[in-house]
Amino acid sequence: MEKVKISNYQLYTLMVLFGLGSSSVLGLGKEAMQDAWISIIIGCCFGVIIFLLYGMIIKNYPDYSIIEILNKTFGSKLGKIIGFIYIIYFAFYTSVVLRDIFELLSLYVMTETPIFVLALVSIIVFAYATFLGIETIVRFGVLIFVISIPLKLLFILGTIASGITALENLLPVLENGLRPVIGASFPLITGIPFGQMFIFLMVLPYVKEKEKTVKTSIYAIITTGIILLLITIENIITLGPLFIDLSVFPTIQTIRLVNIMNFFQRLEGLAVVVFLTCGFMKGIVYLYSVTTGLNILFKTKNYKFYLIVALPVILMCSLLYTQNLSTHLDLRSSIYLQLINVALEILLPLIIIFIIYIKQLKKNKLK
Amino acid sequence: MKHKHILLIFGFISCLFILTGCWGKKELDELALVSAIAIDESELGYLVSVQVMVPREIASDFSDELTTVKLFSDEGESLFQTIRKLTRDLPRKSYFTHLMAIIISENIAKDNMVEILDFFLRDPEVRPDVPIFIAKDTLAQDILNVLTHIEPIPASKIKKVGLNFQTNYYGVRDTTFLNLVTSIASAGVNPAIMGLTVYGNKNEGEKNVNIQEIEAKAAIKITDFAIFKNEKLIGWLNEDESRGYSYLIGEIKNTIITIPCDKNKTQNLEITSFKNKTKLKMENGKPIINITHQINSNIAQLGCSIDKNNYQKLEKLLEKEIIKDSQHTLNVIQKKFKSDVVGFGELIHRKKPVVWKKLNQNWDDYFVNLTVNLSAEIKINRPGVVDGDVIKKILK
Amino acid sequence: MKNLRNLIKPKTKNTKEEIGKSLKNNLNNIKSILNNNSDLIIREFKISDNYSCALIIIDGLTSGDYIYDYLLKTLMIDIRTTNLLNNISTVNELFNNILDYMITLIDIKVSIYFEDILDYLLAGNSILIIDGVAKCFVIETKGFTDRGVVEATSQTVVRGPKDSFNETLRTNTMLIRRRIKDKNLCVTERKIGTITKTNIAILYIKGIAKKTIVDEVHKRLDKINIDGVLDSSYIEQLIQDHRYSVFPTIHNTERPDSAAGALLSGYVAIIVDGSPYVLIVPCLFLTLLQTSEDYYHRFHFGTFIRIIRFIAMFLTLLTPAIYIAITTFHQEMLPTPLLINISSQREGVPFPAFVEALLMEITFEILREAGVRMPRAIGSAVSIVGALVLGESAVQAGIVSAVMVIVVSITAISSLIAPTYNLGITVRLYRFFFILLAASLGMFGITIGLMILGLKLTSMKSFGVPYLYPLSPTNKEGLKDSIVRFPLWTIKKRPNLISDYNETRQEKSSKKKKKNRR
Repeated sequence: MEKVKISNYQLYTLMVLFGLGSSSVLGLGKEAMQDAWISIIIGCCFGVIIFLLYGMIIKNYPDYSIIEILNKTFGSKLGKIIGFIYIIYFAFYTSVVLRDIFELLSLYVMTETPIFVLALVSIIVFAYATFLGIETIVRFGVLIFVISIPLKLLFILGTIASGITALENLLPVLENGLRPVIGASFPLITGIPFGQMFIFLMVLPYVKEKEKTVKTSIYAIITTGIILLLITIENIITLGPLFIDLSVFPTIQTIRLVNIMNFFQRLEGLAVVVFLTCGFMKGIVYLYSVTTGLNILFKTKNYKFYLIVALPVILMCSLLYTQNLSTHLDLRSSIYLQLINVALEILLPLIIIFIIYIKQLKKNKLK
Repeated sequence: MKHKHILLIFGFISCLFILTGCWGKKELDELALVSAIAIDESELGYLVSVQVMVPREIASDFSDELTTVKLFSDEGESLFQTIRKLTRDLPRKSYFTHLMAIIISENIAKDNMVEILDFFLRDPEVRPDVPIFIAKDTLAQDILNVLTHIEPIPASKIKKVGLNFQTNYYGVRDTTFLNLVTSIASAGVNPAIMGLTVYGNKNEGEKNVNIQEIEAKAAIKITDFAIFKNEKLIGWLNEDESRGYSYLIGEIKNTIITIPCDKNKTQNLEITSFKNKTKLKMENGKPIINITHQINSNIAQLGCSIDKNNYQKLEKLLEKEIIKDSQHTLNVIQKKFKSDVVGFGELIHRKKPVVWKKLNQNWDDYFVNLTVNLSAEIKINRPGVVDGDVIKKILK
Repeated sequence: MKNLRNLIKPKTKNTKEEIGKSLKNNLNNIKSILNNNSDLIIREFKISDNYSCALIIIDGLTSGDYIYDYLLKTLMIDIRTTNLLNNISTVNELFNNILDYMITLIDIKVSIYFEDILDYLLAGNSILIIDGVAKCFVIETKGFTDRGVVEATSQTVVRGPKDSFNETLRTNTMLIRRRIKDKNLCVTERKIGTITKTNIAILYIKGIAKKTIVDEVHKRLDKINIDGVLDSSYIEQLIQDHRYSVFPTIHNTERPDSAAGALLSGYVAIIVDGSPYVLIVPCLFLTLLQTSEDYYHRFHFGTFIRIIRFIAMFLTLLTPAIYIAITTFHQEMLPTPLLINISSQREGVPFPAFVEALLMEITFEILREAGVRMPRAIGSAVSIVGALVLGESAVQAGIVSAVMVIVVSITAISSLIAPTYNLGITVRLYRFFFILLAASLGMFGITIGLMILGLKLTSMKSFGVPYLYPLSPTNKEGLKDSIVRFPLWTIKKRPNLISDYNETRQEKSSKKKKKNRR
């Protein structure tokens, strides 16, 4: 653990950037067609509830990261094993984020550059940020937040200004009932973006004002939800649900259609770059968690050493874990991944809370 | 310690160079900027023609001796294969990001458009908002063979004529291939797109003479609207029907409406705003659609004299005229083409999803007997910059 | 007076050679140590018949008036009109009486060590030795010529004070003192440079400047061990934080008003004798983009011009890179008419865009350097060659495209807008880094470059203060005076990472007073 403190504002910006990450370019809740926006609202609500759950853990161990908490609750041996599983899980998600980044790049911006180069260059940036430490990461996050969020909103306004939106695309509401909508929101709750907020259990111990952390985090989740909601609605009213279903990255397709005064057009190259910055922040947070996690697990002094181990593994994993873009996109809705998500992000924290509760009961009895 | 930083950054930059070299790098003078593509049927499969811009000629101030565009065409089994086959003739890589028009021949549109659309959808170079046209009574290739003035790039002329037509005359809903795909994909609406044709002497069109004289020997013009049933072209709406179709879908921004009033004489009104108020009612479990055209207009030219203080008569005439046109088109698409190009199905889908679920399966059959009531609310605002009965006063 | 009579205490406890009682020996000693230098002037005279003295000066460093009117005249002539000489019996008494009654100059010290005497002598003081006393007077008679206080040459303003620092330390401290008449303004001096023995003054306002920063400055200055300091940039390079970073971590100014403004905000100023550039620490990235004039104009214009400067910085940094990226990787990003225009110009240019850009940028850098170095008389030749040959003819010959010339011109003009020269240099260097990145990875490369640059800047610190403060870490009060400038009456506090004792600048009552700040 580094001995630095981050402020609540910095935590907020980092969480929003993380939440938007790669999810803002992917069509979230595609399965719900024109009701995708309802899925996002549902997802956001559940995201808040789940984070309240994490809040109960943090309340008991405000100064410890999840890896240490596992050690304290499950004992050192079992705790270490579970901790290691978490680290592998984080590392896997780092490579998923990396994959998102270079797939997006090679589809729209760098069509002829080999993906290995794109992946390598991206991960070098991850590594550089991780090397500089959490203090730099959060400060950098503030900068990125200030630059990229307004730009994103501008892109969204751009489609309205070019007069290519049709509000009736949102109709009919709940065509097939709530079921597909909830079904579509499930991957949002367990995985991208709300479930993945779990990673912040690695960052929260750095926060200065502990009593406000949960509140700040929830604000961040809600902000993320609102921005994603805006983006999704924008996609639906510009492209129509059918075309979103066809597109790999609907948000970019939407921005391709922006044309204001015949000059502000063809913005997707710029948009990809802006949206990427959030993806980078996400990857950086993951990579930092992996390396500090390993550092805590093996009780060494400097987490930077683990970069040498983690980098090649993550790089190779992102290049090799799936053959093509199609299977990579299907991964998010894959049932196995969601089961793992549920087990690691919801069930295990519940067990931790249960153990904490029992321990407290025992203590009270002894008194 | 600090040396490491420097080494890291230098290593990083040198890595970049060694690794990337020149991948994906394409200098501007290595690209053939395609401005339009035309797809025709041929014995082999496809006859693909691409119109490539010659930037130096377009940007230059003088020199009309060389043409601003060049046409390259070849035949092949598939669209993409043919495009690549063009390299036998093209010294540069064809580059589609600045494509301004896609022109598809009638025959292809009748048979298999989907294959072509699939290519355009997948290719990241082609933007989803490229206008798409059907060539009527001529090869699609011929349309790209006509040189134009004012707009030095013929493809740009095609695109802008389409836009101008849409904003100042009447238009269709599906102008881009994104719209086309969406319309094909949704069950409740069928596509209708603009047709293009070449007037005049086709052989003269490709020569520079065509733009050196005031009157062009050959010209590209917007013609009738092509009507589709799902992905297949089934017929054309003639000029009056096309206009009626625009009334039905409300795709009118500013236009002129001519009403015959006397022998060979017409009253002309400029429509400044045109909106459709569409209502869906259920009667006996059957959907009934009411369309009200809400129109604001100004007097543009009068052939017969009217009462200065009473526009109502003229409003009535206009109402009758517009409803007549829309009703006629409605009959044509319901009875002759049996294709829901207006999108009544989509309307039911959006407003009454439960009803739509029942109708969804055999909508095409149901559509033929769908009851649509038409009405119009007309307002004439201004007589122009002169007031009163001009004809009467002049003739007096 | 009693203080003066105390000897100057030796700085180190090393045994130093003391001066003896014999005047002749002392003079010989000095002569031999100074190698009989020709600008060493020794005037031997007698106060009365009993007491022989010598006045030693280095020619050119002293003011003639002082020596004639206040030393030689008083000691040789005026002393006889008093009855001072009658009352003394010993030479020591004479020594004390001269100090008390005779020398009408203000800065007098008494010294006994040769080494100190010589240091003072070489710094422009006069040495008065009296035969028979093993002490001597060190009299401040500095009077060398300097440039005088003239208008600033490199950091000019349209509105605001026009004076600037010059090469004399004392003038420089005077210029600041004249602006800040506060008892808490501390000036501590020290000498650095084993041979040059340059005077260095550290200025700060006690109670506003953060103590840790002041201590850090002293600590870093202590560590310096160099033979000579010829300009404040020597000190800058020796005490800066990130030694290999291209970005400056120490600010410099030649304007007394900005120095005073910085002191008021809690910064520490370092003045080096012989340099008109005063160093200001800590240095924040944003202050490099600010000038004192921003505060002299009303806030609308102050804000506007700062935003323009910010934009210009990015233009310098990125224009050629973006041009390369767009024309060689992302042609789809240009609107069609623009693409056709650029494309028609590129037609027939023999170089790839990357080489073309590099060629033109380097040519411009050469031109600029030539403009600085060349003798003034041949200035017009350079501008003719630069403007006509490179601009006009190269395009006509088809060697470079006209767009490239425009790109280079935009870069060049916007690089001149940087208010501090060293930031301009930094941005110009980084521009090449971005050109390389753009040529290898297009827009993605530029993004990567910006991210790495951003990470580097956020990780940097200047004297313990984060470089990007108050942008990140964010400080609400600091943001009022950052890329934008709020009206003066709203800026009520000092940024807390720079000054933590005394944050309040103005009480509520001064709301309408609109006091000038910097």
